[in-house]
Amino acid sequence: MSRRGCAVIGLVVLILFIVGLAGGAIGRGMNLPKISILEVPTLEIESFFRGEPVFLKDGPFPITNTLIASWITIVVATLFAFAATRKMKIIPGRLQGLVEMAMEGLINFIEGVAGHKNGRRFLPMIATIFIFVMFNAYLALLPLYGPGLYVTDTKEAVAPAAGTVVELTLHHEGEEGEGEELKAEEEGEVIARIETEGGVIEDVEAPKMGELEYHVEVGQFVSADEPIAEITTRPPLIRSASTDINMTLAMALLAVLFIELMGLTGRGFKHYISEYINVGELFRGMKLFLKGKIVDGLMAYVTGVINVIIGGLEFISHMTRMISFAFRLFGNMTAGEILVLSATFLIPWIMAVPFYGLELLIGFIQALIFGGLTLVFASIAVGHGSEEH
Amino acid sequence: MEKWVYAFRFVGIGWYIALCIGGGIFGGIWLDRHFGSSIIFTLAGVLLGLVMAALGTYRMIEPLIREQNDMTPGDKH
Repeated sequence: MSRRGCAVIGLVVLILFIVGLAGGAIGRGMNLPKISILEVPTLEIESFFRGEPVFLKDGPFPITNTLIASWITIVVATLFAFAATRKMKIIPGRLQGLVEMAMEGLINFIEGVAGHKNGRRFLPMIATIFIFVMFNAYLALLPLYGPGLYVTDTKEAVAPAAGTVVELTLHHEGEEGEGEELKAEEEGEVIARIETEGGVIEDVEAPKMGELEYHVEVGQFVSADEPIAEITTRPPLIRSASTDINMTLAMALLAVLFIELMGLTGRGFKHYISEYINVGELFRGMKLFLKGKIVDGLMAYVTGVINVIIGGLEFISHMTRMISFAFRLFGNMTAGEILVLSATFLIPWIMAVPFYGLELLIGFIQALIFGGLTLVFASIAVGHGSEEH
Repeated sequence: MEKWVYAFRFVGIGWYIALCIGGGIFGGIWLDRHFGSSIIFTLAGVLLGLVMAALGTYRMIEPLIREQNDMTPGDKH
């Protein structure tokens, strides 16, 4: 690149940095002049482990923002595959070439680990996991995701009994706080107190955390179930699917089920179950006992007990995989999301860019790890590397 | 098999150790509360968890150790 081009890019970055500094939290801390159009939405993570319900909130099947994101991923991945395979040619075009290259890479990766025969059996599951995780991670970097696009969700705090309002516990802090929103910091926080006619003080609790607006004043009489305050939250409409522990846990369950199923079909029921419940030696010891060979029987008995304990260990180690699968993906994706959001919050526009690059890498690596681990465990389960390749 | 495939096997080992020890401790505490005893079950839980974690870890890395020992210097890759 020419020196002039470099200089222009450097200048643009510098301007973006300065303007971004004015809009972000660091600039606010340094008392830089406030420019209202540069304000970024404040960082709010309401529920850490799961997505917030955005549609059908009170129904039996609330639709969360993470669920919407995973639907989008499914649709996009399907459309992508459809577009790439719709008009297949011998000499592939750009899209077809890309997909063919990716599939070839995946097939080579899987067959390299599991061998030809098993590799072909594992391919659909492993490739699905890989593609789904990667599409999830990459789509989550789009501006549609996250707090930019939100739904408003209000909930009313009602009076538990009829009486007079004696106290509204949340206040603006100082004179400057006027105009800023009141905030209930956590669910169940006491937001008001009511004295009933019997003289009993009743607490009114916040039904959830969020911005709060009082409907009543101190000294006002309220009847039972009359709304005291309104609490508003603004959950994002779409949030990366991998930041929901339910999604990653579901995928981990599927992966572990797949591994166990492959072990079961690959090695036969008897071999498979003997890995967990190994009582052959125990029975042999008992038989020897009955025949009167006390010492031999005792030896076999001890070995048998050890075998049973080892079977238990095996079972625990297999079940642990599920938890490690679920938390690894969830942790990495949530950390990435929070990282990008915090960077945007501190200095908008410019600081998030390197983290976006990092997220691209992490999305690929996590997909590779999830798929690769399932693959390795499955090929171990099938036969401890019995098939040569 | 490639080297990193070995590495992949041990990615979950931390969770295994943590869950064994943690499960032992919390199971012990629960049993202590249940029976009203002071610390016996907690100690037993810790010990059991440690032993299980160590045994399980050994079992997981055992095939690797065996293969490394079998490997003559000539056919290392």
